[in-house]
Amino acid sequence: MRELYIEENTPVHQLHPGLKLIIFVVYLIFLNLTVPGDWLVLILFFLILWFLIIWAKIPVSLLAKRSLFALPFVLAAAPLVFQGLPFWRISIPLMNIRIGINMEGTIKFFSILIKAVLSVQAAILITATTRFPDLIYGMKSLKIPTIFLTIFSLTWRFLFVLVGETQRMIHARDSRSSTLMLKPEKTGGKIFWRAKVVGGMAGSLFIRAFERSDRIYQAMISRGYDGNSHPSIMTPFTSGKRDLMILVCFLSLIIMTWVFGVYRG
Amino acid sequence: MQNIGFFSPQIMHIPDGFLSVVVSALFWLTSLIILYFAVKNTQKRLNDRLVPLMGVMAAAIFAGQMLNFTVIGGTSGHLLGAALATIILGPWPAVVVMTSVVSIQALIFQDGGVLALGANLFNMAVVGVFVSYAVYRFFITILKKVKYSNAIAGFLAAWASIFIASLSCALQLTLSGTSPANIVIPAMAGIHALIGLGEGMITVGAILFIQSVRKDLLIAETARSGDQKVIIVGGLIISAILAILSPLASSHPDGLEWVAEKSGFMSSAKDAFYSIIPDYSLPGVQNENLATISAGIIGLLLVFLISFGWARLKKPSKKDMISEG
Amino acid sequence: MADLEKPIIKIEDLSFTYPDGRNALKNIDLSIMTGEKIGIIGSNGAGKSTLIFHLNGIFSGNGAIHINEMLINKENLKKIRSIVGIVLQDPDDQLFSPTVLDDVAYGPIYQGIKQELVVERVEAALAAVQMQGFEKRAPFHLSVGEKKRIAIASVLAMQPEILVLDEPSAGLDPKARRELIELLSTFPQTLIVASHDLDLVKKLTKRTIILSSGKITAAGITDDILSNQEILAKNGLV
Repeated sequence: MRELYIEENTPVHQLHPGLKLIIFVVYLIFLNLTVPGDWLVLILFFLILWFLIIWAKIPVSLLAKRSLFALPFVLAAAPLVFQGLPFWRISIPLMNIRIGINMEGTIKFFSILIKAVLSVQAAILITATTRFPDLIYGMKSLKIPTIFLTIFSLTWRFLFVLVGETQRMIHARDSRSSTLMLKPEKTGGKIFWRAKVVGGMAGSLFIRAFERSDRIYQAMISRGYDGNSHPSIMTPFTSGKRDLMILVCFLSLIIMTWVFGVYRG
Repeated sequence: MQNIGFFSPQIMHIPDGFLSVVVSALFWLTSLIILYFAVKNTQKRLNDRLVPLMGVMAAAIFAGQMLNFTVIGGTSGHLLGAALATIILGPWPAVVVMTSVVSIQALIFQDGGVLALGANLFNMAVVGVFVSYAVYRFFITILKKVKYSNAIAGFLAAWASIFIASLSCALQLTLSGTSPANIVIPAMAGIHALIGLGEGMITVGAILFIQSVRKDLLIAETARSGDQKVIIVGGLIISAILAILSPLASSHPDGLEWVAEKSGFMSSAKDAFYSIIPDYSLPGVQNENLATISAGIIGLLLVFLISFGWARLKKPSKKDMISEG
Repeated sequence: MADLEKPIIKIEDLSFTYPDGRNALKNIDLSIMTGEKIGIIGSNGAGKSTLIFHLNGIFSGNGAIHINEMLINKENLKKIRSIVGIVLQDPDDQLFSPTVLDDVAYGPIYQGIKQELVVERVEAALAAVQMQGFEKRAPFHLSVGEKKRIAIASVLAMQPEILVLDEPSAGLDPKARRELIELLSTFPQTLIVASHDLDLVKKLTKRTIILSSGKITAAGITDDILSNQEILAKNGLV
């Protein structure tokens, strides 16, 4: 599996990663502060985001696919629709039940849905326009403690290696998971046994990771690591006039949109 | 659950939009404080050796969450890994490791929101770890002579970590007004009581495996750190609060407010509570126009502050010059 | 039962592209008869492992693959896997149990074989790889050569008709390698070996195909292919 980063050369890509993170977080905060039901404001937030998305030349299909991530959680908010005084009743045929739909709850529900989808898309925008090491650089410029940055970097570095290991382990197990009959497909072994096997795979994964970290440590100290410094990043970003303009411009847009919402409310 | 590429989103990572900004901020604050202590504590011990270890273990947990086993038909059991990380690494490093996992999941893979990250970290990196540790050490101590005490304690620790964390998650949703308490709490609790069994079984399998191969990894942790009384107490307190609050709250849709009402001494807290709960007009300001103007001024101030702050941050410091390149 | 006239494996026009767009296999056509010993050679990234994983349905591309005249599809994957046994390259990826017995027993247990018969299968498999007596040992602590044998045993315990090995000699020292080659040459099953180790391929197989960038670029008698320096060079093998 590969990263989400998409190679392009738009101003969004070139924007200093620290600034990107600031705009991102501010966007999230004010988007989520929007009163449920203020559709106009939500539309404005949508437009702000999608302007950036299009400016950054992100393929829409990718966004659409990933946006669905928030969906399973929708169930958690679903009861809102049915809670409280019903404004509308639906009767379900064949089951003799009538369900009440609550207006306020439904508004809240869809507001949550929209906020969730927009938030995910904003996050995708960041990852698609920023290489991981640059994200780390951005966090460093926002004074996030070095120890986290180092651990994040190492995690990222070995993520794909260990994921590859895990995938091979799963393939190996599947290759030995066979049945003698075609139908009915009855497999031997109880559920506890299957869980134990997976536990063994996890244990094996952990031990190999543990022992691997020993080798990494050797490599690090032979390159002068002393627990303090953080490996430097390739291209240090400079934030020029353009970057600052983008920052001020979008921060203002975001906050003005929120203020607009408050005014109308 | 959706399965995109190698990665399948899980149902304890709350996305953005589902928690109110206030609740998000509250849990961010809490998680940051605990994180601060976690870092301080891990640095006290063999610091530089731990860093690559934590990085790689975080990667291992991330990868380990892909592992699954068929329960019935299409459903499968997965691993969260907080309990296992705690048992192998000890509680404070486990907090850091789980933080790394959950953060990267949120930022890079959009599993869990960024505003909601504070809350998710609290559930998985704090509650998950603290509760595992408390339960594990408790049962290891009382089961001292029993064979396989490791495995039994591990199972219970793993189950508890999932179950209690789910209660925390449910309460966050209720606090935010997203889900009615009398539905979400029993639902989360019920589902995760089952999921916890899977976590428990996988954790046991892992412990048995590790015991047969590198027993030292399981014992080393206590030898290194001794009993972390703080965490044990913390874990027990959290469990107690959640275990008591949840059934109370779940008897009523607006569970928490109802609980607050019923218990007299919390009525004053309730007032403060209500005044900041999602209302989004500035508290205390009655006149609409005044509210808007104030909002506008605050907005401008924010833009100014952030830009100014950025300029200050960007001023190259001596330290940067030396360590760069 | 396999008809000696019909191929036990028949791959027709197989193409496969990875989800990230990488094209791994292009129009593969291949037939393998019962009892044949085939070598698949090619440089890194040629598609050897990818092709292998199509034989038991771990990957599934466009095109048809028949095992024992059964077309591989979503429904019969588990049955196919009882016929085609694949031994992966890295034994650490395949051994995940606390004891050798547990690892080798996984296959038969999953197949639903009764307890007593499982033990029989395990013993037979361990005997076939000359690792009797290792039942209680922890696979993790064995040497690479021993792990490889256990990995093979864990597949043999399913009694597959076809045995597929991905880089069997990778990571082995000369002695272990020699012993492995000796061992593998005693196996009666249909054998497919994917390897860089041209000498091993020479010793174990009668027919060889060369994969390059996902296509079969040469096929023929092993001795002929392996002595043809030109073809080997063209495909990045010398």
